[in-house]
Amino acid sequence: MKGLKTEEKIKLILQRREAMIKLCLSACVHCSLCAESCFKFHNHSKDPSYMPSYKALHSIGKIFRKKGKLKDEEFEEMKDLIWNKCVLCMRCYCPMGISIPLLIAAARAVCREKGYYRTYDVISKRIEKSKKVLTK
Amino acid sequence: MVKAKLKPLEEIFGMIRSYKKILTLSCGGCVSVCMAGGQREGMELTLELVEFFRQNRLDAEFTHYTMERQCNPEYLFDAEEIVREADCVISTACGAGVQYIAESHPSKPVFPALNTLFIGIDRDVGLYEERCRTCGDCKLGYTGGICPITRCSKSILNGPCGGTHFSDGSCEIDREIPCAWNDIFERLKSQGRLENILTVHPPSIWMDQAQRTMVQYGFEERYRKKE
Amino acid sequence: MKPWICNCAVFIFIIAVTSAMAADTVIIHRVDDFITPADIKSGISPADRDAPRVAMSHKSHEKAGLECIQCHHKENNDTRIYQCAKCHKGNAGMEIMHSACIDCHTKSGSGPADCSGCHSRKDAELKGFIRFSLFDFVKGPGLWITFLVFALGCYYRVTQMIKFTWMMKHPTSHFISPDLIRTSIFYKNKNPLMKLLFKIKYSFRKSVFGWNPVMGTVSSIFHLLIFTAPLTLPAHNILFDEAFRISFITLPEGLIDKFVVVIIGIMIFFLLRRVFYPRVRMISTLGDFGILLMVAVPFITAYFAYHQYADYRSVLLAHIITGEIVIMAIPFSRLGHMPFFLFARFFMSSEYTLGVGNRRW
Repeated sequence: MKGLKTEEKIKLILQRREAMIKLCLSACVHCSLCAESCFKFHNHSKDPSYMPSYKALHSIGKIFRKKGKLKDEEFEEMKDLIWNKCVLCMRCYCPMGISIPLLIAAARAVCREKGYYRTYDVISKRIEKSKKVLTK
Repeated sequence: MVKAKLKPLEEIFGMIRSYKKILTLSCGGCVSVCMAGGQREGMELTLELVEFFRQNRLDAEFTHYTMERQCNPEYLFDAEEIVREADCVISTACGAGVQYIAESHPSKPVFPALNTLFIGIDRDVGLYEERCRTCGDCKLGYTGGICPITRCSKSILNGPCGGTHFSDGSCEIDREIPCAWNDIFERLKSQGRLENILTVHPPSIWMDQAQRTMVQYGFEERYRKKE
Repeated sequence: MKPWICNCAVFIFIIAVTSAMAADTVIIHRVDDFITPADIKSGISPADRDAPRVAMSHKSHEKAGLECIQCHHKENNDTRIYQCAKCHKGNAGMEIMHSACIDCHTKSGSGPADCSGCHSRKDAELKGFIRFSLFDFVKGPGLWITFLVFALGCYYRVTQMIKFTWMMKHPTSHFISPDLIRTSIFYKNKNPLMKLLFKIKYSFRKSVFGWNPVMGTVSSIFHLLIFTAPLTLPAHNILFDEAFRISFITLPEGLIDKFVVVIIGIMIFFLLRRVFYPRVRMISTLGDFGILLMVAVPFITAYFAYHQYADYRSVLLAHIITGEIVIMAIPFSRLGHMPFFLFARFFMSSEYTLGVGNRRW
């Protein structure tokens, strides 16, 4: 890993997981039965973009198809999808037994190499807001 | 959740100074929420160590990688190869994560970069407060949602002890520390359920003494010890 | 799904249908076509005379008002796929078949009664030969190839899965003493029957049946029927018996026809769901529709063949070819969820494991 460019690192990350990702993506029948098992999906008035399979297919599926060569905006979008819309709680139900969190973790690994990851100090605005709500 | 703090740089340096290929392994779980061992903190630590090694005229190769979780077998695969390439690993995970990495790579020296402190809440960005000591026998039900184990200096279950300063409700140990049992009393009184602490509660069964293993219900059949 | 599989399926389907439509003629096998050495030993000798094969049109006979059963006696001939010459062998067979045709022709006064009227090289050799050999191919070696590809593909898939997963050990199992296991009230029930019922209820509620009962039930029925219908059909079992010497329990054809109607109905439901339900539409690709169509074609052709809506032989040919393509495509396309499902749900460690569940990714 040392001394490699970001693109090469991403390539390496994808290469190591290639067979697993391929197997999982080919076994997914796009049945959407995983939706109801996600608590985020329930909390956000059943918005389909919170569906585990949607999150996996639009993150690692996209990265895998384009071999990691995505535009910056796409990564930015993906960051929201795989950090804010998924907490990797590993409770999703897949009738096929695909490990969706593992796929999302692979997408996160690629994003991390690109320098897109969640930082926890930008939530201060939210804390202020919740404080206001609490003190009311 | 789990809150931790970075060890002094000198201490980490002391552990790893004899190694040539050093891997800093960050964790994307709790420690990245409390900004102690996430990706950015891991990267910063690596840079600092590089600088520290240079100042001490030592030569070493540093790598940094972030795993999603260090306490879960499914994410172990993430860093398997990178760990294998390194001479030693500095893990910026909580104690559990460090132990799990060490357990799954028995031939690699794994060093902690953090001091795991407590289970707590995020009071503000970068400000955390202890709230739970995982005693294994939760008492919050009759103490009005205030933990006497964590908050009371003596961790007593049938309080207050008698040293409370009733003028300002502070602990006898320090005027700055609020008395947990005073707070418990005030809250229960405001909710009209003081009878909760009027009865004497039996001593707790302390489970902290031996290593605990837990089987969640619904999974009993799967993990029950075979007779 | 790989696009080439879809293309191949459509292509072969078109070829099969067009070549079949060209002639509804059936080539009747010669009486010594199925003679085995054992037959010769037991005294059946090949026919004395040699004449070109007979081409017979089902349609013209049906137009003349003949019932199927008048020629295809049902006794020991459940499927009507059997060739006359399979039983009626040698000179004796020739006598029976000659008399069956010629007697009827002379009695009714229609149809040829002389040799060259039926034994005409032109019809038999040129018109039906291509289609006929195709039919024989898909029924014989085709079936072998299909199941070989299917079995090897599944084997490959499963080995892949074994390769990418690893066995979990439970290193801490010696720490688990019974008093540390908190038993839920469901399991504390004394009555073993109630305990089992609670267990089933509990595992049902946390599975897909709990939160999406409609989809859970529909897809369970669908997957159950999609295996039961083809495996228990008498005609298929005869084919299995001919090719591999194995057969399963059979259900009546009328019931299986109803199964097929249900299967096609559920497939339409799946299609509508894919088009109109936003959460499914968002993750649907063209391949999903392709797969749905690919699986639907063998069942639709089966329905047509059973009710004889179009030319029986050509529909049957299309049915066999598309069916074999689908079976071959199972391990290599999205239909691969069949071996995947079995492996993952029984051997992978998860909340919803049905079996031992001691492997992880």
